[in-house]
Amino acid sequence: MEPAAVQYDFLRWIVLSPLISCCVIALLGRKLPRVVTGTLASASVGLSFVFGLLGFLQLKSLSGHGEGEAVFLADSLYRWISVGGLTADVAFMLDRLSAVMVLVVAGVSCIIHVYSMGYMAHDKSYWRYFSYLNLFVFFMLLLVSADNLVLMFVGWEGVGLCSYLLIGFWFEDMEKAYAGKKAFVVNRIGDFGFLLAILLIFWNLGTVSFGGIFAQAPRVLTAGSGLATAIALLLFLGATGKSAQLPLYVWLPDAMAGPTPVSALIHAATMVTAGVYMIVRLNVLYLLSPQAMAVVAAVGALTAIYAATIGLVQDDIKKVLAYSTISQLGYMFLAVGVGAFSAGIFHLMTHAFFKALLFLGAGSVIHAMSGKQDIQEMGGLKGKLPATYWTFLAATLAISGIPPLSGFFSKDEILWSAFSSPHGHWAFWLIGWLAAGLTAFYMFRLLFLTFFGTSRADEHTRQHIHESPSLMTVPLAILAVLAVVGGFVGMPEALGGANSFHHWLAPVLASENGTLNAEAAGHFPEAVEYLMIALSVVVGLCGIGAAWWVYINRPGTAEKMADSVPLGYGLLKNKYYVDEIYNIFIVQPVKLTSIYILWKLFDAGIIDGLVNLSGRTVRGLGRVAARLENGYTQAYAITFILGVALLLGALLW
Amino acid sequence: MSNSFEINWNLLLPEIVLVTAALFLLLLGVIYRVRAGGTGPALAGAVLSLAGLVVCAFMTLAQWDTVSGTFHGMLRIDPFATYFNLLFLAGAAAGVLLSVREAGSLRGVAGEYYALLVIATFGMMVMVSAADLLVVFIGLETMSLAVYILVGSRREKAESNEAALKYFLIGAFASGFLIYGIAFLFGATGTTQFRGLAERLATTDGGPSGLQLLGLGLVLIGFLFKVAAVPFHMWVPDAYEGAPTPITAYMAVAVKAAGFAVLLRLLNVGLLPLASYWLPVMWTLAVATMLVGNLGAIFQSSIKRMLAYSSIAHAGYLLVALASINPLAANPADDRALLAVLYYLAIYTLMNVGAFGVLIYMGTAGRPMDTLEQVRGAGFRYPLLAAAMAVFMFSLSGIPPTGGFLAKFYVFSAAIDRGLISLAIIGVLNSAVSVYYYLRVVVQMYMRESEEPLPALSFSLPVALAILLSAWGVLQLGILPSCLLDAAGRAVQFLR
Amino acid sequence: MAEQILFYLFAVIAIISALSAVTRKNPVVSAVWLVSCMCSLAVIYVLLEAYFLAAVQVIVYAGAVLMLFVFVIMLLNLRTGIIGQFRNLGLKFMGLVLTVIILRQFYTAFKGTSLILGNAGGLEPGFGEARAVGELLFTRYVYPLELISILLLVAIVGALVLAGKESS
Repeated sequence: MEPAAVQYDFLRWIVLSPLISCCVIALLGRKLPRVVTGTLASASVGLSFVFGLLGFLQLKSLSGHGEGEAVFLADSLYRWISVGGLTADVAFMLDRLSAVMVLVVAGVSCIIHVYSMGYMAHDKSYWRYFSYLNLFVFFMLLLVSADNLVLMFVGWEGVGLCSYLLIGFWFEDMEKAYAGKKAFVVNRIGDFGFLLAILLIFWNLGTVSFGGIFAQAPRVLTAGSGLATAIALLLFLGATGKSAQLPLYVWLPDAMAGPTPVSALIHAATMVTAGVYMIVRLNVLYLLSPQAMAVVAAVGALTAIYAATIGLVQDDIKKVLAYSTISQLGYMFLAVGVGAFSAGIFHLMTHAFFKALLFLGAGSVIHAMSGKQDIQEMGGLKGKLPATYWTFLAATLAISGIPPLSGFFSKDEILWSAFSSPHGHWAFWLIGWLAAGLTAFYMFRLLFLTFFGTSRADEHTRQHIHESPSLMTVPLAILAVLAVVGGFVGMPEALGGANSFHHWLAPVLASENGTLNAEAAGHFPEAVEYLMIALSVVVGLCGIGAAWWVYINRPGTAEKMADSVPLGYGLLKNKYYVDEIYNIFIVQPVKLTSIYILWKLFDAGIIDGLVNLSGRTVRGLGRVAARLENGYTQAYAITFILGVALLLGALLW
Repeated sequence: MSNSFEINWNLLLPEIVLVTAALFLLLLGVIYRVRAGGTGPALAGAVLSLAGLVVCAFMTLAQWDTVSGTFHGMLRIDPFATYFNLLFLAGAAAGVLLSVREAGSLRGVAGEYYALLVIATFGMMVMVSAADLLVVFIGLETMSLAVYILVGSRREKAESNEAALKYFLIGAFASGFLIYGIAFLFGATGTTQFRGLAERLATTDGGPSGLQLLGLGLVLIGFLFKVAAVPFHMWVPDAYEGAPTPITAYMAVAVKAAGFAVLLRLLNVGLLPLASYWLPVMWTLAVATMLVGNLGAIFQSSIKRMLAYSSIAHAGYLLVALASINPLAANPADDRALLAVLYYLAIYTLMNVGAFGVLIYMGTAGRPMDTLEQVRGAGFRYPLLAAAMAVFMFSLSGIPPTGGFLAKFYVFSAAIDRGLISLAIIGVLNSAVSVYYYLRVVVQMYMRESEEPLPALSFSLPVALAILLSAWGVLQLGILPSCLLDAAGRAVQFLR
Repeated sequence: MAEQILFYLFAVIAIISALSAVTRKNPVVSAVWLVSCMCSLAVIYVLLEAYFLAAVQVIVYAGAVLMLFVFVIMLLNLRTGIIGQFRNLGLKFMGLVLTVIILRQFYTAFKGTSLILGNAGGLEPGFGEARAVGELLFTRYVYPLELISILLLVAIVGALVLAGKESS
């Protein structure tokens, strides 16, 4: 059944509102008062949220609550590309999936905008910050509401660009500027895959619009064919870059150099989840390639546990959260890899709430600690930062999967799917389960070291500790509420919930529409599901307990443990030496190859070598330099002749 | 016999206007030489040449619907020629605008300088509206000779002289191959006209003869030199670096566009029957050119030199499109490769004019902007200029929503369309590499502090105008490309 | 037969002269070799019954252009040695190898190719005379002819720009 499109003119304003605000601030920001700039930026995003909500309600009224017929809202501005058979419009679509994304993105963005007004209040480039932030929201909304792949790619590149601008925002710091560049370059590797995938899709399906792809893909691509796998894997390469999965995750920890609200918005709640969204959006293609699905699930699972282990020993509050984000993104990929697309999006949403909250809370802590980020120097902040502490605690409980907070429901659904889905495997479940325990451990380690015990800060810092202004704490409170109750929309039936989230998304997901799900549910008795739920709660509690034992009950245990296994500790502390390994095995060889083989060979090597060689034999080295300039033109001519010989050779033989 | 044909001079009107403008410009040199010095001659020259170019552009525009030939089939005006003529005129106008600021250093040859710029453009127009290899050759030589001289027009600078000499020597070498190739093609087919060539080549029994292939190879070499394809690219960095920056910009955009325009016409009309021979050649050259251009650019610390290698790399992307031409396409307007080339060249013109324009604007008399270190902190000292530069760099590296992205997208989708997947992969990888060095400029501007305070810049309307129009065009054509694509579609319709 | 012998004789002379012109170190000597080359070509034109072209070749190239070369060289007082400092054996060797390869390719190209040049039915009356050449130039080839006038103009302007006196 072809989904029906309903024209809805407001869609464009969801996307355009932040763009207009960005332009106004970029042009006039220098002259506008800070309050106006900040309010304008926040209000424009708020407006997007309102329009998104209107669209959502419209969609709901058109299709009812349940798995009604597939309807989406469409708004086409103009034809952007039209060459030969290739057409792409600047057009937006709001279906059930993109409606969820728009609401999450615009909602979280709006909260973070407000928070930023407090956090950045004293920054000298206030207006620049807000114009970048608005530009980011524009591209992000473009990404999630585009109706074709090419437009989505524009958003995809755009968010990367803004991320880069915002990471390097405090450009005075060399390291931060470098981090921005690293993020950009690593992302380009992923984008390369994405672009190729778009071209392959167009070549084979003859269309780049989502509607066309959904209709064509099952007809044209054979399930399990090499082509379908190639497309899916290339897309996944793009996703690993943007969503910081193995092996392209290296940029995300470095990206923490940016302002903390940026980390919350871009590197936790929105941009990094774009890869998950993309895969869910194109779930039709993935379902055609079980191999690619397996790869996605495996990479997701490995990333989840891998990043969690690194998170255990990091001391920088933001780095812990960064590795935690990578790990949680791994969960989302695990979910989509086993075909539980709605679970992936569900976790994306809850993660957006609690991870944004964690980052903003961290920002509040950093703010209070006069910019210090090392948790070994904190401690005892519970009393001094009550609002921050309580909200942080809520988020930490949520991410640790403690019922009934939001993270519990989404993580549990992923783990259950990993176990029960036909695409799943008990090994996936086991890895995810272990990672859940590690997550609880390192998150509570963070919480205990930061807020409990006695303060380890120096005298000067300690005197300046103060709770953040209400401009910052109110957003924290809102997010805390969401992090606590946000999970109920996806409460599984086994626990007496309606799982309305799952049903809402079902029409846009090819798998959950059909037989797959029914089959999966039939496999296992309900008792198994209850057992799984219990196990995931237990592992969370164990993690918390362990953290309590190590950091509260017996302080000093951590050091002893580190000393007893220095090798393992060092490995974790240095993030498995991946940066170093990349440098040795990828960066340097590429550099050397290009310098010494390709570059020198073509432009300097052979020719200069010969010039030098014969120079030595004929006249001695001393006079080479003097004649080099004279020799160049002849050398050029020789290269030219070489080209002539090769070209004629190719034609005549 | 002599009365048996009529000449439609109207078709030649734009060219005539240009030559007239050039002659007046030469007179200007004579008039002003009497009382030397001052910026008078330079300004008058700029105004006069701009006027000539604009009038010519209007006349060219009026020919948009014309499809006609004259001079015994040696001249052919069709939308394809008109499209490129307008592109050359735009490139020339940009060259003039960018020159105004530096014209003070022309030392009494301002009139000649602008006259040569105009005549070089005239040569390009002759080339692209030629239907005969002889005329192509003469047009090419007119253009080349004028550009050699322009490269060396800063007489007091050793590097300018050296660049001109090197360019001239290698260029003459390449022209030798071209005329040799034309001679062989004439020997093998008995004609130099494009249509005639195509007919005779198509009717050769038992595949093309060795002589035909030799002619094909040598003719290709002549043009590949002009578009700076590897391994005929060695002159590019030296010539680009040594030439006055406005001329570098002009060379990068107009000369390259002219080379590709003629190559397109030649390959699609005269040499179409040999497509199965030249397509693989283009494939190989495209790969080599992209690799050398991009890898070369990585190691440059001079922005001008980096842009020189980038121009080689872009020639490589364009060659990808040439390798993706479908010789059997019933309607050339459906051949995405052809459209891609036309769109690409227009965008490429804008990006390069803009990038070089910013370099010119940021430089002061005593401190020409050249190295990466020099642009440090420019993002805060000159916010608008730096923002424009960032747009051009993003466009050059192919990041949406700029025109550069769409241009590359068209090229690679054309390659995929023809099943050249490996070529597209190499191309996309190369463009991923290129981000590194383009981005470096942006990083230097925005994320590094200048060691010494950057000087205040004097406002220059012409340069600012060129930059502004280019930036607008790059964004406009990236977001709303349809008008240009329609024009390009119409242009290629009459190509075959 | 006699024609063929003459053709090969002068063709060889032309090639040897051309090679000498580019290998001699003394520019004057080079220029004289070039004259020899041009004259040999003129003879070949005569053999092809292009008498007018032959005459022009001798008058313009051998006479005017090359005499100008020699004058310029003498006026500039170029000593021997300015040309020919380039004695890079490596490059020379490479050039030689590549030249041989390219010549081999030319041989491949020519082998078995029958030229379709020439007019089998004999020449038109008046072929190669000034009138016929003139008529062709001003009818069929009038466009290239006019274009060449502009090309020459560029050359003159170029000389002015590169070598003219500086006014400031």
